[in-house]
Amino acid sequence: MSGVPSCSTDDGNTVLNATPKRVYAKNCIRCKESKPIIVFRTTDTLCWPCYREVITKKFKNNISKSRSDKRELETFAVSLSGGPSSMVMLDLIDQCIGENVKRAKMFFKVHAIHIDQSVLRGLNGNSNSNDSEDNNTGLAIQKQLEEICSSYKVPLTIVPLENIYGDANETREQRRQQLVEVFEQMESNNTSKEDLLEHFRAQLVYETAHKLGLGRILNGSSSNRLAIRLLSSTSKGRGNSVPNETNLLDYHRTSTTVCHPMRDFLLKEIAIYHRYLGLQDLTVPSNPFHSINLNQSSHKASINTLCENFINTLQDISSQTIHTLLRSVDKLHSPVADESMFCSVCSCSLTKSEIETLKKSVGERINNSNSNNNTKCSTTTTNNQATSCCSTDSSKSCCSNDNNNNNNNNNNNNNNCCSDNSSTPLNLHTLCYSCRNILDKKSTTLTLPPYIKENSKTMVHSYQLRNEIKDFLLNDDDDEDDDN
Amino acid sequence: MTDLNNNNNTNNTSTSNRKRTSKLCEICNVQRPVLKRPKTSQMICKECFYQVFEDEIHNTIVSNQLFQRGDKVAIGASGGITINIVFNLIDSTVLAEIMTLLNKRHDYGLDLFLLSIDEGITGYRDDSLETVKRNQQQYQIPLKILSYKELYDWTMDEIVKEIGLKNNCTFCGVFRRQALDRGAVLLGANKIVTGHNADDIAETILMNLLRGDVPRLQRCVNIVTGSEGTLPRSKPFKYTYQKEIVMYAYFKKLDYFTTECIYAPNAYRGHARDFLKDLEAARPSVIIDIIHSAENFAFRDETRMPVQRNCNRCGYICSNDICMACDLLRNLNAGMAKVALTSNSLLKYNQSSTLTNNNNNTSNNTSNTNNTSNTNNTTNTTANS
Repeated sequence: MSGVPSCSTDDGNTVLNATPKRVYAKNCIRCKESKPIIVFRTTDTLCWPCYREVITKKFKNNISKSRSDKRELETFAVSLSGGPSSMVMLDLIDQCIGENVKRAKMFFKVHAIHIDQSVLRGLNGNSNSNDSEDNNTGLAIQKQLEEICSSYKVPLTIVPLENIYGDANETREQRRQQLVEVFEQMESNNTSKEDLLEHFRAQLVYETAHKLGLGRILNGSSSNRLAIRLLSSTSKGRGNSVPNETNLLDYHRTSTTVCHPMRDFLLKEIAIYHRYLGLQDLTVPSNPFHSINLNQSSHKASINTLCENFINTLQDISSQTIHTLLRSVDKLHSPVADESMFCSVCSCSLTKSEIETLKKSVGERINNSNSNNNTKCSTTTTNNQATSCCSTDSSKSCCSNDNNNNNNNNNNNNNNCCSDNSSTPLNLHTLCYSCRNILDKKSTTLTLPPYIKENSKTMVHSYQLRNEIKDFLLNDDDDEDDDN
Repeated sequence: MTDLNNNNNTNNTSTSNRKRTSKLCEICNVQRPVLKRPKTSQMICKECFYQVFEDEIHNTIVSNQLFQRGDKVAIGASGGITINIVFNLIDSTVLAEIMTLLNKRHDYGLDLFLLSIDEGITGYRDDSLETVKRNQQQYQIPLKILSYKELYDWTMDEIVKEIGLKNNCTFCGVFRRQALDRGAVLLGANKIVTGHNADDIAETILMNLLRGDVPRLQRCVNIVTGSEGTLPRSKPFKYTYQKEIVMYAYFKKLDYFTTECIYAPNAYRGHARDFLKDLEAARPSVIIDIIHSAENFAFRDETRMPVQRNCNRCGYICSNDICMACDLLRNLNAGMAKVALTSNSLLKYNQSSTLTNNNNNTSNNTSNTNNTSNTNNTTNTTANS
């Protein structure tokens, strides 16, 4: 059609004879009239209206795949970073549900969530001088985002990153300090910093969505981003959860699904869309740690940036690299060994062997410290709390923010429960393999966000409770094991 | 801000203090450390390193039940799966050392053989075979050297002359795999151990992921492969870092041979290896982490594994009508190897062979390959008995 020879460099077996220069069709291959603006998927030349149509169609397809009941007027949470990918996603959503859509309008609502991580700019070594300026840019971004969202008629919630430590007004400065300290204490370990930030961000989006009562989150990760994620997560030992993280639908949190509707688009394609529409790019460096260390002599690239460079290099050599990677992850899945057993930091489900070691460690603890803190607090107060939490699966959100369930004696306030926790060390067995790698040796010195210890505690408690009554439970555990 | 800076400073001084004070081995606390373990960054002494290193391999062997008393084990003294794996001979030399050592110490009750494959690469393999021969003298293990020439009637030098420097690793890898099996059968062994280390395996995992080769991705982390049909091969070095293997060989002053294969290294694997080296610099545990990931990959049920059957020509285990080695040989003998490599010849062969059993094009060459296939059949029958 477009005169492209059949020989290709797709499968690594590069053909030795020189590849003739590609000849592209002069007009858009769809409408055969207009001037093309992009060579789509290596052969197809498309003009802008056709290109937009192709992209929108694919996007709609992905969205409808993620919906369980298409008749229900569902509301999606949209995580909005401000970068090109999420801006394009916002526009595409408008193409689905906006007022101007004439054909094949979809019926759902969205609510945007932006995580404001301006607090981390303080980490930027020489920030003393332009602190106020930084603050301003943070505010400016928020303002712009608000304007954009209101132009799309999408409600927006902005959550500062430090809210991972709770959202009481009076402790804001303290929380900012705590957050900065955690990242400072990670020293030069960029990989851990970035991962921790990623987990915090995900947790915040999740908590916010949960508070808003939204069960599905749309995430604008492009296929580049997901391929990089696949490689980096594999390198960090997350083999069990990586299929979940990079597939179209991510089920790893029990009550919320994360959807990646931009999974089929390369960053390049997104950028063209973005540029053609003249959308705004409010990219805050999503990776604030990378830039700092460029100035320092001790600069060590993190696993994430290494993976990014590697994928980009390979993608330049063979344009199929990213597609191949994502196709191979399609054939994987993340089994859930036990629904109530998930990593306290990143919420991925624990593997069977991890659950075994956790059970062992809990068992030992009970035996060793019958008269210790553990049993003291679990006898009266926490029993209620733990049962209420584990029975409704919404335990993760109730731990750090809304105190609906915590009408019990001890914890009236987040700060209280946080300080309570800090006395007992975090049980590292409640973390997944890679989160243990991040926090190992540091878990005692770091002031971690309360949600982590809450999750860990709840999980251990619910296991202990289940253990106590296990003789009276009918085919509960056995069934679950058989299923998986 | 100033507070934070202070914190930083105190941290720095404390770490440097620790470095200055801890001059004793972190394990025995008696001797001065001479090395930093690549795997854990522990500063330990030589003796402790030997101990840890050997114990880890022993644990791998025992916990995975790699051997049973009375097993006859052929040690693949040719090393990795592609000829360009640097240091591969170190690995196999260390393997030989370890296997003899642990066999004595822990009394596995194994019969060990050294098995070497001579690919026929002038200036590479002939030198390394000298090392293997010296090894044999030192360890007093029977040695068998099999050459591509006697098995396939082609040396790697001739193959490279025929097809050029690109893709020659394909031939070498396929041929060596089969040659090892045949050599082991000739020796009367029932198990093969190879010197694949953790780096090799992590690299293979990355490559299979990047190529989208899901069946291989599934197989490549197994510590024992090919248990049904062919001889089981195990990798006792699965969790051992290449750097530690080199270190061990260096401190033990082992007689090893190290060069890269003289034929151009495989570009793609080269990429993967460089990438892995960078990752390891960023976080030393990354190699084990990758292996851990791959062990935890859960494959959807619908991914079909290729069905194993036997090659029509030589009886070797394969997933098509004829095995890869026979296919490559067929093309080599027909003078079509270069063309066939780029145009999935095995698929074509399978399609054509289902239509007509007698291939008129290759009638000339079948007689040639029949020779080898006959010998193969005999070796296979001995294996069965």
